[in-house]
Formats: sequence, structure tokens, C-alpha cells
Amino acid sequence: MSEESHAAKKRRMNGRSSQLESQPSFLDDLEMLQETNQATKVDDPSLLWARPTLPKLNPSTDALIFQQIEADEYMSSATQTPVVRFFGITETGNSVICHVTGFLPYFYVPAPVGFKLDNITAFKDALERGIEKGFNTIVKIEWKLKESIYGYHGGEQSPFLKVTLKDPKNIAAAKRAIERGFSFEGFPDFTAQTYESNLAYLLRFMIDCKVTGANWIELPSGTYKSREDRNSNAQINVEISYEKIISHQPEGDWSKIAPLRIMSFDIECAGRKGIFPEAKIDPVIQIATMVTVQGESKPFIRNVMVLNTCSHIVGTHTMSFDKEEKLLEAWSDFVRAVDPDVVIGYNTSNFDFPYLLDRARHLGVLKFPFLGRLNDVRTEAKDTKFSSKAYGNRENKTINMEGRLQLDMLQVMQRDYKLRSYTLNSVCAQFLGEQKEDVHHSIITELQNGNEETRRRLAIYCLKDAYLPQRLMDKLMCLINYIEMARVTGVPFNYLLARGQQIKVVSQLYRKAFEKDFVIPAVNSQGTEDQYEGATVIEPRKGYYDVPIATLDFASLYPSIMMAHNLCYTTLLTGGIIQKYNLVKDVDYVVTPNNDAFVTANRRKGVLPIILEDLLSARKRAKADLKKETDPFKRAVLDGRQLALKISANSVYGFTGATVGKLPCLQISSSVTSYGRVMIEQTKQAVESKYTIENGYEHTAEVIYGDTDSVMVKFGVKDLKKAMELGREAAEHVTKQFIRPINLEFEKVYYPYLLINKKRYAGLYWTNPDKYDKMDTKGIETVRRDNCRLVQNVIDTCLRKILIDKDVIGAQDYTKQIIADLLQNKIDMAQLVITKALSKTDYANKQAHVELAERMKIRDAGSAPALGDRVAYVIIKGGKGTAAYDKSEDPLYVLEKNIPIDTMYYLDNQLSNPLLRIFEPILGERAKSLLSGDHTRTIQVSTPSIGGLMKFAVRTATCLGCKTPLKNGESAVCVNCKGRAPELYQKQQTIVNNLEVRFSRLWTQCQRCQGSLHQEVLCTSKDCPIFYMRKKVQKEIQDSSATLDRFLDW
Amino acid sequence: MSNMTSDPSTIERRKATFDSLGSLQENFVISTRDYKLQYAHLYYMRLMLMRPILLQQAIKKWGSLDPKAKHVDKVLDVQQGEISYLVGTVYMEMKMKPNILNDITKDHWITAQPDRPKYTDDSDSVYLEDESGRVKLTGAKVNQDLFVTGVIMGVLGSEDTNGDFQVVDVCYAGEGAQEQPAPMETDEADKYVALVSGLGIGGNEFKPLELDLLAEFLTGELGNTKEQIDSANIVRVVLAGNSIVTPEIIEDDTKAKKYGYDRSTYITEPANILDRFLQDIGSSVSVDIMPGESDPSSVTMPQQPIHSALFPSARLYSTFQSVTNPYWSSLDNISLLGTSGQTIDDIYKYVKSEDRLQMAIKTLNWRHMAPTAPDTLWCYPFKDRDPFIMKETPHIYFIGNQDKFATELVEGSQGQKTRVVMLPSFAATGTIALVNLRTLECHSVSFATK
Repeated sequence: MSEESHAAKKRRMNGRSSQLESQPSFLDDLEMLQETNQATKVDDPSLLWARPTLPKLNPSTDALIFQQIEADEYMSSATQTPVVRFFGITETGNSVICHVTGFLPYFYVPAPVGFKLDNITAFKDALERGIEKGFNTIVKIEWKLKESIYGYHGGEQSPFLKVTLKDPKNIAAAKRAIERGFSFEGFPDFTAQTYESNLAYLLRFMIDCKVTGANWIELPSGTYKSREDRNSNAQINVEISYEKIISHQPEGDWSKIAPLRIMSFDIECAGRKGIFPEAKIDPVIQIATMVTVQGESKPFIRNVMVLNTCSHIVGTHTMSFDKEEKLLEAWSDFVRAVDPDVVIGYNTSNFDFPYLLDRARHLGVLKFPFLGRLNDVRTEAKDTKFSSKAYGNRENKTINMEGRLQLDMLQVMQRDYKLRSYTLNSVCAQFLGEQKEDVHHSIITELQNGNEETRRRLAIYCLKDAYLPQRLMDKLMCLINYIEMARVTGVPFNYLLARGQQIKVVSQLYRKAFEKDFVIPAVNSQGTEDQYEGATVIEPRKGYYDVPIATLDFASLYPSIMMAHNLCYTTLLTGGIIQKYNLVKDVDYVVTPNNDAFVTANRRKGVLPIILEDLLSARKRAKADLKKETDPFKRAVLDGRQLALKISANSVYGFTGATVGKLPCLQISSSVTSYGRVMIEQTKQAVESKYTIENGYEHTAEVIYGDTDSVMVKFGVKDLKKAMELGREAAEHVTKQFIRPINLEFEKVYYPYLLINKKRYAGLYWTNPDKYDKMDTKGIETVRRDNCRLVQNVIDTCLRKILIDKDVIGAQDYTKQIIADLLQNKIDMAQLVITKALSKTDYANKQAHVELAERMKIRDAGSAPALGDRVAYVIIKGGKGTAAYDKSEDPLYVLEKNIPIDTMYYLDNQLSNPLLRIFEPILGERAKSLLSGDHTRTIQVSTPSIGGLMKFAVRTATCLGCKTPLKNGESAVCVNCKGRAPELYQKQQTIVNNLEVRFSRLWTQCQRCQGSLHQEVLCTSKDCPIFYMRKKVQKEIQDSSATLDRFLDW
Repeated sequence: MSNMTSDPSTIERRKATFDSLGSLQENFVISTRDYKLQYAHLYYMRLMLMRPILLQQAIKKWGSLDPKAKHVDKVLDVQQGEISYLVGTVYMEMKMKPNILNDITKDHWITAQPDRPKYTDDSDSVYLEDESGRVKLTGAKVNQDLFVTGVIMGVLGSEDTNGDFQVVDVCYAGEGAQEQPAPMETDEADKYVALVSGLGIGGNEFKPLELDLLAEFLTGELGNTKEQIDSANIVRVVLAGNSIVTPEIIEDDTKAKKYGYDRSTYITEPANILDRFLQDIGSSVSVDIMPGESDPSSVTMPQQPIHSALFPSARLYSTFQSVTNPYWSSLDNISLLGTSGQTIDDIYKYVKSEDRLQMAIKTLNWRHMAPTAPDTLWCYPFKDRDPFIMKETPHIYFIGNQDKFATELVEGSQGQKTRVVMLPSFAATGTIALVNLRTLECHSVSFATK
């Protein structure tokens, strides 16, 4: 089991997206935005850019309070000591830079046996020599009594040397020197493990000063002084010594959020046909920007900068530039003037920013790359690799903008949600219920080269794309959730996207250890591939259950095991200690099912259990507050908080099991899982032995499945209410057998329940006997992207028919009908399209989408997908032995040329397995009959207009009734079918009519979506369910009406 | 009917000069189809053709205002606070309009919601659009008047601080020109045209007896001599749509399911009944049959003539004509324009009002018979014309398949006279309308059997 997967459990999208609402065009949105902004309407919109004017601030009489959003460190050139620099916002929206001086980095070394206070000087000299270039870097060495966090040592502290340095950079060198070993007076070959030497200076500072991520800082009057710095344009610039700052814990009133300025933007470049835009060649032609104050519903700045002229856009400040250099310069000036605290966008880290920076460099716009709060720090794009078990490997660019938070919504999406596609379009369809008009990049250049009207049109897309990330962020409350996460775990905001789960636990562990006088060893992780046994799975009794199945869940299983059994670094026992202190089993210590020993809480309470208790009780508080709170904004904060707390609690277990981690302790993690396994078994036993007919119950209960933290019980009763009662009772009964806070909860009943396999099931989810909550599915691959949409829809519909309608026969009929439709070529092409991103061209194996992209390039380089594009394809019929990767084809080309689709491929490779999986538990062997039989006998293949034998074929009109070749003078039917002519005519007419209605509805819908009647629809969004339908109907209607025309007379 | 033969004198069917009004009617005929086209062309043509007319009207109406109202060429060039007038296409933003995106996403699971009788909702808003863009219209005037997508309209007002256009007054194209009918000789008896819609053969409401009575009336086999003479004055019969109802196919669960096309579902009987009926009346009077929503014809506007091969008997008569919907023609220089009702049915959905007659009258004033095509009324994507513009004002304008009989003689600003007739469905009401070709008077005749 992947250790971190737990913590990072993605919030999978349940069911379908929110219903698509009728969408007013984006222009209307712009207009609406304007309406609320009348109060601030000014003649020159650029007057709105600056921050609110600064109220007078007198350091000797006024306290300064601000929310810090980011922090970094630098070396003071005067003192050669590090300074922490906070970037923050006051409650009135003024920007603050606060320099905190005097805090020095340090670490610990255990004092060797026999070490006396007198030895310190010699040790210091020796160490200083060991640190290369470290002359005079050690400030002091102190004698401290501390206890290592790792293992139980009878509660005794031992002497440590606290080494304080001047420069954080020298910590690593000092650590290496000590590990390497050196000699000093009386200690010829000293070497030791260092403690707390691998903690970043900034985090060290925040932990010691009790500063959490994005919390409020108060500088009392008289403790700080103003500072004139040339290098920043913050409104308030102050300096303070670290002992003086007051850090407010984010509770109560201090859980508020400052009026952060959030800037969302999007750029357009004029690419060349078929080539992904290159910054050295292709100009930036438009930049649209929206600025919103956190907590307000609408952006107060909306503007677009356009190369060349552009017609007026309602509610928008449109700025035209004759030169690209001026445009870029103006935008960077704008960013500095607006001074946003948060910068968001979609794929801005990997595209927009690097492109702008490269372009500005290419054009020699010298002022451009200074986008942070510091005037003397150049903004650059750096390549970073990020790898985490939970999130996988990612190569990203990071953009430094000192003092501004960055939230690239694409990265947020990829991290927090598992989706079929991450294009802005499909993400918006999913979360905002909107289709976005998508203009192919080849058209962008045309629009730009048109007139002021076409550029206006382009500007509207650009504005929309700039606004969507903001709306997405608001809808998903990412900013609030991330701020809460930073506060709960104590890490700086920017760590959350840039780093994995571990750092959050590290921060909490160090904070707790600091409080309790523990020191944490700096472990050089080995990265062993030691695997330990994961969670248990009770072998599923597969099948379709038409009776209520009660689900009993252990609430926060792993955290509660750690708390119940006091599992921690600080309680871990080794054999020697047990003898040394004469510890008694089951009184002083327990032995876990994994045969590890931990002392009990009355000997010593573990640090991890305390952290977990804090987290979970804070979560309880947040949930209680959430219930009381009515203000939607505060509710959002609280909800974000409780979620952050839950995730954090779960990640603690993963931290102890991460072998490539900061402080792995497999004894803890293996013990946790072994307890979990035992508990699941015990629960099964307890339930199955109590609920029996012999004990007077109606039926004998049966545990049909169990996994990690839950068991599914079939009590045998038909009545939902009764099943719920029994479930509740059983949960209570079992809970009594375990140590608190382990708690088995009855949560829900599945009825009916389709158990397919381990981690694969579906059921209707009830928490209340009157109405089901939802349809719940696990592990049923409907979101995998290399499946076509048809699979998802068919599986979804079948499950709904089976579970909600309890109509198994109906589901089978439906399946047969779909298969029949598929084989008769009646399925909409959009359902069959598979998409894959063209990320690189040199795959080791030939891949369908790469091969297709190559072929498309030969056909027409202009419309072929470029690197980074998503390639959409369908599988077409190929000759015998044609490799699968050669059977991919562009859906549009397929439509145009009438190329037959390989419907058998879709049946065999796409539909058949998922279908068998859900039907096998119900029908057993008979499930296979769904895939063959009557409904698979009628097959329709379109006649291609190109390729293969078609070169030799002569087109002959055949009778529409019996397919006999027609004789001269017959246009539609042969002599024998003449009697059927009216019928056949009507049949054809119906086909044409259906197509006509489709044609009308589809194209008028696109007109509505684009917000214009008089302009042609240009959108080529392949993610839109309409796109292929629209193309297909054009083609089909043309062909069908031609056929209809053959009935000129009969 | 036995007394018919006993009458010695023969009553002659009256004749009228028929003109197919080629220049108008031909626009409805789609000879070659090209579906690569989008709807933008149709809107563009409509705006191009009608803008000059609207400008004339606007100048006439607002040209002498003081202070002077300025004409703004492009909707987007309106300046805030300046009294001006613009011309453009109306667009109605209505969230209740059927949305295919919704239907598609629902399609796999939830059945589509039945079509709503009206699209109206409090959140609706009115826009005026031209090639440059669109602007939202506000003001009391906007809430009072009746607006539908696709009408070309002029508005007078000014842009407010929201960027909306505050409308003070609106103007429409007004009725098109009309030729004066040649004065008829008064000593002759008046001639009539019979307007019938919604025979509904094969439908639930179809009553064979009433259809027989109608046939007998039109052919002059009904009643006494006086009535027969009246019948003989009917010079033409126009069937305005929905002559046949194709019954819904009810799936037979007991039969094994067939995958693929099932020919046994085709029912020929209604077409045969209609053919016989047309043959009956065609033997004595000229008859035009227009397709309607339920007829076996194309569904998009303009609907093309029902294939005459479906009428193997009636087609043999020269008096029989299968025509388009909408349909232009003229009788004794009295011009007729009729639709089978879809045009007004669709407008009906846009407005809160129930008064269909007023909606029909409104279309005359808009000089456009089907403005909501293509937005919500399915329509062929014309490239170089808009056949629905009423270049002329008809003398008789009838709308088939409406809920009840209603009529009004409308007078245009230049003295144009139009008899507007809302024809009810015959199957539902047993009612037809007769319009006097000299006086344009109109009355209904009922054959209801209960």
C-alpha cells in the first residue's frame, strides 16, 4: 500500500457534474460585473489600480498588525546574519514588508560521554575548522539537557550541545563535519549524529516564534521602526527584532483573512500554423487581467491589453498598443501598480509566465521581469522536479515573485481532483457547469490580423479565460482551504503547492517537540525498498445484493489506532530499555500485533498521539462552529479548516512509513496497519458471532466484504430501517471491544449493493431510510481517460438502472441496445473519441495518438496537433494485421471521408470488460450473452470514400428497399419494391427530419454560447459534447437529404 | 344526397385567376441543400435587407426630434448619455429556451423534460445586436412591448452608466407595400377562398364523419341549392398543414425486440384517406395542400411540399397542388400568405401574452413572418436570402392550427388592408374559414358533429 495515498485521497468526483445551466454569453457576465461597480466608476480606470491610501502610522504609538502571506530570508550585509522578511497585508489592505532580525540558526549534537562544559571551546574550534569557509561562523555553543524523540529512554534527558551559527548555509557543512568526525582535546575520534540540522532556517524561525502559515502578526507600538528601502514598493516597510513580534494563533477573531488582492490573467499569442507558439518568434498579442479583493464576489479591475486596435468591450478597460514591447512594459507596470497578493491563472506557471519572460527578454523589455514586491529581484522561470508518492512525478517551472502567492489552478486541479481531462474547458464544464468556447490557436492569429472587431472578439475570449480561474477558485474555495492548511500545519503557503505531504508533518512534529523539549535526529534517509504489510481486505463475496448492506466504518482509523495504543517515536521501546527499567508487559508497555513494544500513556504520552488529538479535537471544534455559523464566507473558512485538519491527521501515519522520509519509523507504521488488520478481523468475528439465528435474530449476519477501515455486513433483513438499527447497534457493540478513541461507526447502508471485486463495488447509498443520498461507486473505471465517453455513459446508465431502478432486465436490454447501436454505427462519434496529450514525440513504443499526429502533419501541417495539444482520435477499421496504433484516426477526417469505425474494437477492447465486470456478479456465466446474440447480428458499415478497394469500386445506386442494383430510369426503388416506396420515403424523411432538428439545435446552441448571431461559430472545443455532433450532423444531413432526393418520383 | 340528381340545372364552379406569385413563393423552395453553412448568413442577410427600411422608419419617426437624435451606425459605438438611435437584430436571452447541451448530458439517464409551453422567465433580457456586437436594452418600454429573437428593430434612447441602452421608443419596419386589388365587378356574386387546417387524419381527434361533411360541402354536395350555389362560389381550398398525424409507435413488449429498422411500423392508412379526400374535392375545386408539423414532410422552415407521390390519385388532377409552408399565392389579384402555424406557435413561447391574433398582427408590423427562425424555430441555413421577410403585405394572412378561430382586418400605415385569420384545427373544432375575395370579410363554418 502506498503510504501517502491515504493522506492524499483525492476527492473523487461523485456522479455527474452539476447540471449545465443555460449560459448567458460572457459579455453579459462582463456587463453584470460592471453593474455592481458603479460606485467606483471613474473616467480613468487606471485610477483604481493603486492600493488604498495608507493611514498614518507612527511606530512609537501605533501597533502594526498584518497577515503575513509569504516569508523569505536574506543575509543582512551589515551584520552578516540572516533576516526573515515577511510580506503581508493589513486589514485595510495596505502592503507590508517586515524585516525580522536577530534570529540565528542552530542545531544540536549529543554531548559525547565524558564531555564537560570546559570542552566547549576546543569543540568549537575543531568544528569551525571542520566547516570549510566557516571561519567565525559559530556564534555560541550551549549545554542543554534534551531528549531524543526517537525511542523511550525512561524519561531521562541527556546532555546536548546546541550549536548556534551565523549563516544558515553553514548548517549543512557543520552537520557533514560532525558526521564525518574530527578530533579535539580529549576526544580523538569524535563523531555523532546531529539533531534538527536538516530544518530550513525559515521553518526553524517560524516554529520557534510560533508563526504558522498565513497567520496574523502584531508588532506592538514602540518595538519596531520604519525603514526606507529602495528595493521595494511596499506601503509599509518596518524592521523588528524577533523577540518582539507577537504571533497570533489563527483562532477566533484571528482566523480572518486580510483583503488580499487576487489577480487572474491570461495571455494570447499569435502562433503559426501547426507550431506551438515559441517565445522567440511568436508575439504576445493580448493580456487580459482581472483583479478581485478576497471576499468580494466580483473583480474590481477588468482590463485587456491588446496589440493593435480593439473595439470597446462593455465593462472592460481596453488598452491598445502599437508595439508589443509597449504592451509588455505596460502590463508589468500594471502588475506593480496593482501589487497583487495572489496571482492565479490556468497553466500560468508552465506557460504564460515563462512565455512572457522569454518574450520580454527577446524583445529587450528590460523593465519587464521585475514582477515581485522587490524591485531588485528579477523574476525568472526555473525548472523544478517535484516527486511525491502521493502526487507522482511532475516537472514544473517555478516563477519567483517575492511577496506574491501563486496558485496555478491547473496544478491545483491536478493535485486535488482526479479528472478525465484537465483542460480549462472540461474543468469548467465539470465544476462550473459551463462549456467554454474554444478557439483553435490557428484562428487566433487570423482574428488578430483582422480588424478591430475580430480583435475585440479575441479579447473577449481572453477575458473569459482570465476570469474563469478566479471563478473556479471561488467555487472550489482553494485559496481559503490552502490558507487554512498552511495555518493548521504551520508551513508557509507556498510550500503547499511546491512540496509534498511530509513537510506538513515535519512542521507539526518539530513544533510539538520544541514544546516538549525533544530533539529530532537528522536522519539521512536510505530509501530502502522495505515494504511492510498493508491493510487487510476481507475476501469479497461477490454478487448482487438485493438486501440492505450495512457499512461499519472505523472513524479516522489510523490516527485513532495511534492514539489508542500510544504509538509514537517517543514511546517506542527497545529490548534493553524494558529490562533496564523493569517494565511490565500490558501495564507499562504493550506489544503490538507486529511484535513491537510501545510504552503506555501512563508511562509517557506520545507526541504523535498528542498532535493527532490536537488535530482531531480542533477538527471537532471547527465542525461544531461550522454547524453554528451562518455567514457563508466564514463557513467556507471553517469547512476548509476541518478538511485541512482531517487531511493532516491522516498524513501523520504516512509520514512514519515513508522510507524516503525525514524520520521514518516502520515500527510505528507496521504496528498501525497490523492493528488495523486485527481489528477488521475482530469486527467480523464479533458481528458474525452475535447476530445469529441461535442468538434470537431473524437471520445470521454475514460480513461480505471488508477493506482497511470498513466492513460490509449483510444482516439479512429486507427492511432498510431495521438494517440501520442493527448497524448502529452492532457498531456500538463492537466499539466496546476496543480502546478509545477507536470508534466503529455505522455510517450508511448500501441497498442494493453490487460487489464486483476487491475495491470495486457500487451501491445506492442511504443514510436515511426515506431517501437515498446518492449512487456510490468505487473502482469502476469510468474516469480513465483512455476510455471513450461511451464506456462511462453505458456503465453509469447500467449501474443506475440496476441500483436505482432495480431493473436488471432493463439494464441488460439497454446494454444490448447500445451494442446494437454501436454495431449499426448509430452511436454519436463524440462518444467514441479517445483523447491523449501529445507530450513528447519520442515514445519508445509506437502509440496511437503519436502516430496519428504524424500522419496529420503530413496531410496538413496547419491543423495537425502540436506538442502539448490533446490528440483526439477514434479507432477505425484496418486491414488484417494492421497494428492497433495505426488504426487511430482524426475524428473529423473520419466524418468527412466516411471511414468505417472499428466498432468491434470498441466492443471488445472498451466496453466488454467493464460490462462483464458489472454483470458477472449478477448473471454469472450468462453475462457473456450480453456480448453476442441477436443484437450483434445487424451490422452497418459506412462506405469510405477513400482508400483500399474504393479505388476500384464503381458506385452503383441500389434499391433503397432491397439493395438490388437499380436499372436505368429507376432512381430510388426497383420494380419489386415500388409498392413500398411511400414507406421507404417516409423512413428516409424521418431520418432527414431528425437530422435537421439536430442541425438546428446544435448550431443555434453554439451561436448562443458564443454570444453572437451575426458572426460565424469558430469554436473547436473538442471537449464540448456538441463539437463532433455538430460536424457529424452536417455531413450526415447532406448525405441523407441526397438520398431523399432520389425519390423525385417513383 | 339523393335530391342532388333531381335538380335539373347545373351549378357552375366559379373560377378565379390564380397567380403563384413567383418572386415571393420561389424563395421558399430549396432546390439544392448545403449544410456547410451556418446561421450567421441568414441573420446577416436579414439585417442587410431590412436595415435601410428601418432607417427610413426611424428618420420618419425620430428625425425631427429636438434635441436631435443621432444615428449610430454600430451598436457598439453608442456613446454614454447621448440621445441616439440604432438598428439591429433583437436577441432574447432566456434561460428556459431548450438547451441541447442539457438534453445531451441528460440523455443517458434522465429523460428530457417535456417542452415547456413558454420560455419566459423573470431573468429574461433583451439585446440588440449587429455585426459589431450586442447591447442590452433596458427601460420601461422594454418591459411593455413584445420582443422575440430575430426581429429587426430600431431603438431610440441612450446608453446608461451600466453600458446598457435605455430605450425610450422603438420602431419596426412596418407593413410592406401592397398592390391595390383590381375593382371587381359588383354584379357578380362574391368569390371565396376556403381555409382549412389540421384535418388530423389518423390522430386521436380525427372524426371521419366530419371530414366527409367537409368534402361534401366543398364539392357542393351538401344542403339545398342555395347552399350548393354558395359552395360553388368557393374558388380555391387551402389546407394549411397537419392534414395527417403519424401515430406514435407504441412498443410491443410481447414481441421479440428487433434491432434495426422495423418496416411493420409504417402505417399507410392516413395517407390513403387524405388522398381520397383530396381526390374528392380536387374533382370539383382547386386545392393547395401545405405541409404542417405533423405531415410527412421536412420539419425545418420553410417546409417543402409533401411529396405528391403520397397522393397517387389526387395528383392526377390539375386542380391539385402540393405547396410549401409558408405559402404565397394570389387569387384575382388578392394576395394570400399562410403558414401552418409553427411561426406563431414559436413566438407564443417568447411572450407572456396568450393573444395569438395580436402576435400574427405584430409579424405584419415587423415585416417578418418568422423572426424566431433559426433561433428556436428550426430553419434551413439560407445563405443569400431571407425568404421570411414580407416584401409585400398580403391581403389575406392566415395562420393554421391555432387554438381557436379569430380574425381581424388590419390596416397598415399606407392604407394596406390585411385580413388576418387564425385558423383552428379542423380535427379539434370542426371549423373552417371562408374569406370573401372582394370584401375580405371572413366567417367560419362549422362541421362539428357534437
